[in-house]
Amino acid sequence: MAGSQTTTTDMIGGQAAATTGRLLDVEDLHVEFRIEGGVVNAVNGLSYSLDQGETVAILGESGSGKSVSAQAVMGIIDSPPGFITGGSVKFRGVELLDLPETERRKVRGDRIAMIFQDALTALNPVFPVGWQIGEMFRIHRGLSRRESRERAIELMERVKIPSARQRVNSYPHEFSGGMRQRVMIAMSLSLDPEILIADEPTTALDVTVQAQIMQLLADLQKDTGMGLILITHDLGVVAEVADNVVVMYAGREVEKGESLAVYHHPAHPYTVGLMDSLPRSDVHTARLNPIKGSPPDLMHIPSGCPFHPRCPYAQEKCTVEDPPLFEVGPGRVSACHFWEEVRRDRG
Amino acid sequence: MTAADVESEPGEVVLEVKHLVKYFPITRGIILRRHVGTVKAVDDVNFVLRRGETLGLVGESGCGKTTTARTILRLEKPTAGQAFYRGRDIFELSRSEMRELRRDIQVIFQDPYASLNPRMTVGDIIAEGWKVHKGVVPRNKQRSRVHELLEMVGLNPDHINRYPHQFSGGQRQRIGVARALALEPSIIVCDEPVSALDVSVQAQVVNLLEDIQDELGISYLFIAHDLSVVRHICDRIAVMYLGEIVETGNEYDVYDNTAHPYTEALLSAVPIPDPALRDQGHRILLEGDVPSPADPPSGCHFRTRCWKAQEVCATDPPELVERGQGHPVACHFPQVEFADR
Repeated sequence: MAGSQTTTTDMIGGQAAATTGRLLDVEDLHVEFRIEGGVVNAVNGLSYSLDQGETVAILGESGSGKSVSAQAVMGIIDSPPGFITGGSVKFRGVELLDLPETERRKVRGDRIAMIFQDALTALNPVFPVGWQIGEMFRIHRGLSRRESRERAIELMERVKIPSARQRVNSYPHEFSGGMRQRVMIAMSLSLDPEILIADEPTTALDVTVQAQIMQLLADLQKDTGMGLILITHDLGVVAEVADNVVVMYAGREVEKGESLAVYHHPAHPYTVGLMDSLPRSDVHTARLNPIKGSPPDLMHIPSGCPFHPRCPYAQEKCTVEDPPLFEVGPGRVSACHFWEEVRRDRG
Repeated sequence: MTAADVESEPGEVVLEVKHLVKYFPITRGIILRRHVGTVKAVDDVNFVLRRGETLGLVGESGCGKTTTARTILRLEKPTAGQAFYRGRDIFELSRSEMRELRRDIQVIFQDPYASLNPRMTVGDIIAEGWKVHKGVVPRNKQRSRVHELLEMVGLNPDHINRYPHQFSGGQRQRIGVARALALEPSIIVCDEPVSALDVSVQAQVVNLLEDIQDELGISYLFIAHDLSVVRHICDRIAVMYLGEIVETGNEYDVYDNTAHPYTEALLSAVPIPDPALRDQGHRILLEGDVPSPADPPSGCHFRTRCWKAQEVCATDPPELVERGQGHPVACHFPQVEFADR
């Protein structure tokens, strides 16, 4: 039934859900898009897990597969052209990829919610925001219009939209970018999800507004204990909030581990390259040391290690042999044949 | 006192902007357009740009940084003020004089996808300016000059006949740089030139811009919202808020000896890419949004969000002057001690 959390045993699609702190296990996920002219290999092997109250960041540049991997977890990839061709996504121990769409829909929004980069396109321009937030209660919980409106106001207050009661009937275009993102967050939190996936939630926002939104997400996470998956290209944002980070390149994970360890002792040349490309606002940066070239076309990913054409460590081996994930420390992996050299060079 | 009086760094002034004002009318109605208000996009902006230096205009969306640049390029008509290019007021020039001047002040735009004509080859895009500005490069030398320019910006000269869609975002931005350089300008206005690029590619373009400046002594007016990139590339920085410059100085003045509360809040909001520093900074979270430039607060525009605001801030607009900080700041109560940044 609708309120699965109120039953004594938590059931997802007829299976008993695990009640431990582990929320999500993604393993060896593969996603491809079959389009005219070929196959776009968007995700080619991604594994991570998420615990209650934890924040995992998926860090990558455009075309790294970070957003697609999140859409696969959420179950919102259009098929065709998109196909999940391998791997597993387990929510509380239950394999989501095997669930029928009707069961999947009960998980979506209710247990796993998502917010997007562009709140203006994600919101419907012809309905008031309060109506759109209240829709969650009307559809998923069967509340009346009046009740759902009251709940919408409560949520708007919770995400600190000033004078919520007056603004509940305003339309998305009447809100600033930051306020719209708050509306999105209110909507995503309406059903008390256990996991929130935030896909570039602050990329379109000014830096002072970004700080407000990240603070809001942190406060809400503290209150609810939800797990947060943060999809971003911003190394600064990752450094500020993520417990663990997965660095993606050309659809696969290249490095993974606890944020502090990854930032201070990177073990993959791509991670090193990203850090050296970044100017800083807190200290003077001498000349930047960028990665040469540009990210590969996902229809023609280079042989062997996909990073080898841009890699200063690349050798013969890298062009033919796709590196496995090497265990480089406790809870840390790197997909580089020469991770030890990389580590040594970084001190 | 204008900004020019306060600055003391050497170097020939190539551009001096004095009391620049740009208001946009707000109108209602289609046939009878009634004037119902004014957006004060740029309100009394002063700065100088010297030969071979990079001046950063930084601020959040709607602060007027892009309008300032567009007005200097005469893509917008100024409401008031002057802009002197090597002593001549740009706003007083005739059409033909202005055409001459456009050669000297070139632009690089944010979106490398939208700013290149998809139907023209790279060679034609780069050479197009020479059709208007005859005599920059003689006809028979044009092709070899395009080759040189492509090489200079790090592109393969053999790709001269390719079209923009055959290049990546970073490469397209290089084409934009080559096009700007073709006319041998003395100033390039860079409007968010790296904002659309991925981190690894962004660094390549930043380095390219630096190399070109070192080689050719071009001045950049660098408009960006990314405070880290601005710190890296700019010699001097002007922070804008609601159409006004609130603080200006060199990298260390603005970033390490921050005096204006807005600059302080802005900088504190920038995430630092080091997890070890996570809880060490004191982040100042500003309340609410930037007020509408159609109805900015009286006195100091920032006072409605400022934790230092007092009565005087509502009545007297603070002037952008040196207040013992070593650099000009438009605040009645600027930070004076710099210990903790």
